[in-house]
Amino acid sequence: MNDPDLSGLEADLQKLKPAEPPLAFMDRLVVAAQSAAPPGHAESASPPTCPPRPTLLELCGSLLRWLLPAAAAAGMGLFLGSRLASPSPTPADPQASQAPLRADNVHLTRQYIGTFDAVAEMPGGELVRFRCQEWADQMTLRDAARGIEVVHSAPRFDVVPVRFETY
Amino acid sequence: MISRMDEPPTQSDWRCWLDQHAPKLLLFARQKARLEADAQDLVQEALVEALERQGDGQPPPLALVYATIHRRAIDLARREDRRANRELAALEPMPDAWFDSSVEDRELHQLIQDAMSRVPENYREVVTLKVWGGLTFAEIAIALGIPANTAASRYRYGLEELRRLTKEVLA
Repeated sequence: MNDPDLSGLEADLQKLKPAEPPLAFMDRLVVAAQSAAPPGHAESASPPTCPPRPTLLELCGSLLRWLLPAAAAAGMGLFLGSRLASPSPTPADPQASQAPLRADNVHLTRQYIGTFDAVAEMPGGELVRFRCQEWADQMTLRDAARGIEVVHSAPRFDVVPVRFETY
Repeated sequence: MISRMDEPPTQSDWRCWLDQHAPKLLLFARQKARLEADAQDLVQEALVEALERQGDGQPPPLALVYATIHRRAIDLARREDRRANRELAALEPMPDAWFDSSVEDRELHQLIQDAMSRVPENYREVVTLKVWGGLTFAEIAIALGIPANTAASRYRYGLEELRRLTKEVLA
């Protein structure tokens, strides 16, 4: 554009961003696109246009994924340590109460509870949708010799922002 | 025994692609339709048709989707009774804002939206596809079925008209 006035106007227009479509409409489009794409080619439909978007929430989610079991294990250790250190008021089996706890059967389970979407409005007014998956993490320790079973469970949420203003 | 329940990748891929392109497609459709619901239907139907025509499961070229929206919008206008549509439009809430705007920019954006709606449609569609659709004049020519030179000249006329309509306020 040679006309400087028009170039300036063009630049001003390019600063405007099309309004984000309603969330329900976006969901409808995703379903429609998936339904229309031939199933045999579904895997190849991945366009390389979406850059990875590591966010604070994702980083926190990744950290929590490892920290929760570690914290649970540490808590369990403290709990068992204090339990072993304190004298049992009514020891049913004196021989067994003196033996150290041997967790000979450990299970880690992760149960999927459900998925839901949440929408947040950022300070700038931008709407961001989050896909939240709820899980129940459970750790079970068993000492078969002493008949002790310790179960620790904690809810966990995987929160992934699935929609950002991309241009 | 840790089980994994990952989402199918295709859904997130499509969501990603649509996050990037649906706002532009809907902006174009909003300028073609009188009702918000019609604009959304135009985008959805055009996307599905473009996917089926392409047939390989890949996201379709944007020019093809725009071309399909354009053609379907013409069909829609021909099908509908214009008077009834105007009456219906008067009952519906105003279409959504065309542009994202913070509180301080809202007046400016509304001004440009009003000006855009007063620009002749054959200019406006070219400006929209060039500025916000990111298409080249060659792609616009394919989408609208016009020569590329015509697209370029309509773009210039459209900008001149926009400048005239916004000059007093923006000056």
